[in-house]
Amino acid sequence: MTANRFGRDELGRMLHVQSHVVREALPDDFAASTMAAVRRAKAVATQQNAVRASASGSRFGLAGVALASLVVLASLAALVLQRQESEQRGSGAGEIVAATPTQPANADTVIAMATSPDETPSIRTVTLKSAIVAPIQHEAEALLETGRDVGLTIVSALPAQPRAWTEYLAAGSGGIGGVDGIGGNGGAGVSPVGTGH
Amino acid sequence: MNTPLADAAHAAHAPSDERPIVAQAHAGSLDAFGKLVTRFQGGVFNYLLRRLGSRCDAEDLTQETFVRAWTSMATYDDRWRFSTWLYAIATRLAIDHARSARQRSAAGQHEWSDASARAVAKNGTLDPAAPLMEREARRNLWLVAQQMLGEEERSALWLKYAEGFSSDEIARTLGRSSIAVRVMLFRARRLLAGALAERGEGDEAMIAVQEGADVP
Repeated sequence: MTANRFGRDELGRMLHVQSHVVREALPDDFAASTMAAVRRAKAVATQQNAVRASASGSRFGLAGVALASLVVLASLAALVLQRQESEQRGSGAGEIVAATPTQPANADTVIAMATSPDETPSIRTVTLKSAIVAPIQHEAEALLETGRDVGLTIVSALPAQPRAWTEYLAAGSGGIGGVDGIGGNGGAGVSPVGTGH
Repeated sequence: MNTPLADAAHAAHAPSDERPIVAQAHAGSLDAFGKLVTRFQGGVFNYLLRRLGSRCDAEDLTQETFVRAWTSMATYDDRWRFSTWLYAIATRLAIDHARSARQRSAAGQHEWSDASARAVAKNGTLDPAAPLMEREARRNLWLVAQQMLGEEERSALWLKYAEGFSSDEIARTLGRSSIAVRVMLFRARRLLAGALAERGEGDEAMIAVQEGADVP
């Protein structure tokens, strides 16, 4: 046992003070890169939800077929997304993915093609809260106001409920047939939204 | 085991302006989560840096900590401070990382040993600046801790004195009992006190670490 001018609190004080000396700072853009990684995780989760929705929708005839096709779109979109994000990270450009926060289990997914001012097409995967067309348009327009792209065409939509998807088709909004690749002209869905295209 | 009363006490430690932000993030707001990233990224990074000793690894795991936090947000229990939960994620990632690193190290150890042996034979020491660096390092207790303490002890010490965590919060973060944490802290302080005494400051610099001071 020892006792002198350094008590247990003194050692604690030294550790506390010296912790400020050894603290290191992160790069200025660290928070931005972290949030980009978080959004990528969000996009992946959205894609996984689309796959799960497809599996559950296969029991619903036409809706099931449509949902299965959308999974292909979602997979392609994710690939394009990853590649473009990788390129954009290198150039320091802005984000591609814009996702509205919602409960993933109840989410609808819209796969949209956007055209940037330099005419470079990009894919947006947008998670929406509603299953009907008008709110989708509304959400897409709201997205355009916050995004940097000037044109956005929804090429496909994946409602959470198969019934809503059937209603979507019956409303004459188009199907998924005729999509010329991802975001090709003549694709399905609501188009155009916003300016461009 | 923590009582409901103790849990409530921990929740009460959360800054009042933090709770609404955490609640918004919990509801799915990326903007709110971004604020949490900005608020806690420095602390998580320094904790991981102190634990791992590598800036690059600490940066990678800090980012991964927040990605995991976002994807697991539904599992957050708001009876505890958000930072406690966040540091627990960081701790688990650090443990996984260390395990992987040990496996990689074991695979490459033989090759490294040959190369370093040749360097020592040629220069007499692995790094000519090593003695100078060692003296410099011993001026700061945290750098001494880096050399003397294990990962978990360093982590406990950092959470206690740099982040101001309570013993219960450290226990929850590290997945240990509160008693184990107190023993860990006691041992860490005793080792550091011994190191200070060896710095040549004689009796005046002797740190008082009473036997069993931290052990209930």
